Parts: sequence; C-alpha cells; structure tokens
Amino acid sequence: MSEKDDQMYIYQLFGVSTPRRIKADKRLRNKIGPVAKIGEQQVMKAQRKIDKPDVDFRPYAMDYLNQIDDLVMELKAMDYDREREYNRTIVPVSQLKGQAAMFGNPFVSEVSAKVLRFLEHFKRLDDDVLSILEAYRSCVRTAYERYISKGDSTEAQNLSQEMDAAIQRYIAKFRRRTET
Amino acid sequence: MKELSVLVVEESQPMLQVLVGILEEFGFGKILTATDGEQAFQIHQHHRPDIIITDWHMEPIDGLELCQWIRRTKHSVNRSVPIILMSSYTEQTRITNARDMGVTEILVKPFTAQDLARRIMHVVDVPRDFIESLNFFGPDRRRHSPDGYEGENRRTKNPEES
Repeated sequence: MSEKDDQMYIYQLFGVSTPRRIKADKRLRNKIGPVAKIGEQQVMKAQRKIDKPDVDFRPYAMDYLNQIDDLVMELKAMDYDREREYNRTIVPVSQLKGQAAMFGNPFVSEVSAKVLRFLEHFKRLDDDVLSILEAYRSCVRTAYERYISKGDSTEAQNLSQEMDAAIQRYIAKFRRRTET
Repeated sequence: MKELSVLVVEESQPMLQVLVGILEEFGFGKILTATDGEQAFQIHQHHRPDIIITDWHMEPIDGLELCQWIRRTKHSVNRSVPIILMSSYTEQTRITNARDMGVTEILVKPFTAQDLARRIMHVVDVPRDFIESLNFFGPDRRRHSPDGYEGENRRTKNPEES
C-alpha cells in the first residue's frame, strides 16, 4: 500500500475532509508531575559527558575525511552531472560540523560550518569547489594531527584564514564569471 | 523525568553513546536506542516512547522519513509523539522541509546539554496543537499566537462581515 493510500485510509477512518485542529494535551507534564524539571546540576553533569567524552572521536573524523577524499576523486573523474552527488558530498562535512565540537574539537566544527555554509549556498561541484574541499580536508587533518582543538592559537587562526581566503577567492571568481 | 521514556536514533556510535550518557544524567526512566529510521519505527511501535530524538542523516531510512512514517502511517501507535530532529544543516529550505514533515523541534548540532534540556522541557511544557489535513499531519506550523500581537489593530471588521 502506498503512502497516499495510507493517508486516504486515515481520512476515511477519521472522516477528515477539511483541516482539523487537535488540541495539545499536557500528557507528558501530567506524567512527571507539576514541578519536575531537568535541574541545573543534572545539566552540568550532562555537559561533562560532552566536555570529557569517553570516546576518541579522531578515528571517526579520519573516516569522514577519507570519505571526502574518495568523493573528490570520484567527482574529478566525472565530466558532467556532478551536482547529482551534492547531497552525498555535504554529508561528511555536516557530520564533522555536528560532531567534532561534541567531542572536544570546536575548531573543526567551526571550519566545517564555514565550508558547509559555502557548499549549501552555491550547490555546485566544479573543479574550484573540489579544490576547496581538498583544502578543507587538509585543514581538518592538520588540526587533528597537531592537536588543534580551539580557534585561539596562531596555528588555528592561520588554518582558518587559509580556508576563508580560498572561499573568498571562489566567491570573487564566481562573481566575475556571472558578470561577464 | 523517570516516568518518561525516550527513543534516541543516531547512526554515529560515539554520538549515540554521548546522547545516552546525557539522557541518563537527565534522569529518564527508559532510554531506547536505534541506529536508523527503520529500526526506530519498530521500537516506536513496540515500546511507544514518550519522546523521540532523532538524527537527520541516517542510512537507509533517515530521520525525516522516520518522522513521516510515524505521522502518516495508519498503524503508527502514536502519531503525535514529540519528535526532536538533530541536524547539522541550517539552510532555511531544509528546516522548512523538516517542519513540513511534522518535526516538533529542531536541534542544531553541535549543541550543549543545556540546549537539549531546553528542547525536552519545551515539548513537555509547551505541547503544540496538531493539524490534520489532506497533505499534512503534524504540529501546528504557526507558532505565533495572535494573542501575543502588540501592534495597532487596524482591522475594524471581521472578514466575514465585510
């Protein structure tokens, strides 16, 4: 049965013909009682699980970087229709953005966020974008190899500036291309 | 929170481990886990969790598809369960898409324990009305109540009267 059939079944079952509002209930609040909440102490203890995780995220990060390597190689071999692979391309970048900071490396999350914003904005996978992905992969690899986890060191700032410059060069080139 | 059960759906093992650790500290009575949408739907059907926290990107069934299954399948045991979607994406079109699929709250990764606690307490304390129509079943997508409007009321008649 298709999803549409499923939906039609629901409409027939409940007699839905026009949109209807189902009032929210306080079922969850009623279950835990009127004053229960997640207290500050609990939040602080939970935050420690993020600040000092039991898991070494580095091998997982290296896996994501290897995925980027493979993708870039694959995309370079494609002459056309690269954009079909866009969704697959942004996955490792988004995973690093989302997870690195939760395993003690906010620097990698920040750099990944910049690259993700860039990819989401242009949605292109031309040769210059692939070069940016390669630069990003080197940047993250360097960060992990040299134990750079925060953005305040000179080394971190240099890496970050290199990424910014690469993105800015692409934007300038893109503008020139669209103007002519 | 020990009276509540939560289902965490996350493909990444280290992330799943951290999330379970956080939810244990929050005091949830029952923490169920799954690593993809299909497994999660089965657990939802058997255990009927009070809250679902799911990642967006998973193979083969992702968080959005899971949300659709829960909201729109006729045999879903709890179509209005609160679903908190974790995502690294911040692009507006993706967020709108998630909202249109019936996601209750979106939590952008990376997040702090405080961010997660706030989202959980929000679904507990501010449950949203559900809208059922031909094309949509999910929490009311309009969050602004006219009661909160503080500007000048320039409409003098009801639309039906004019």
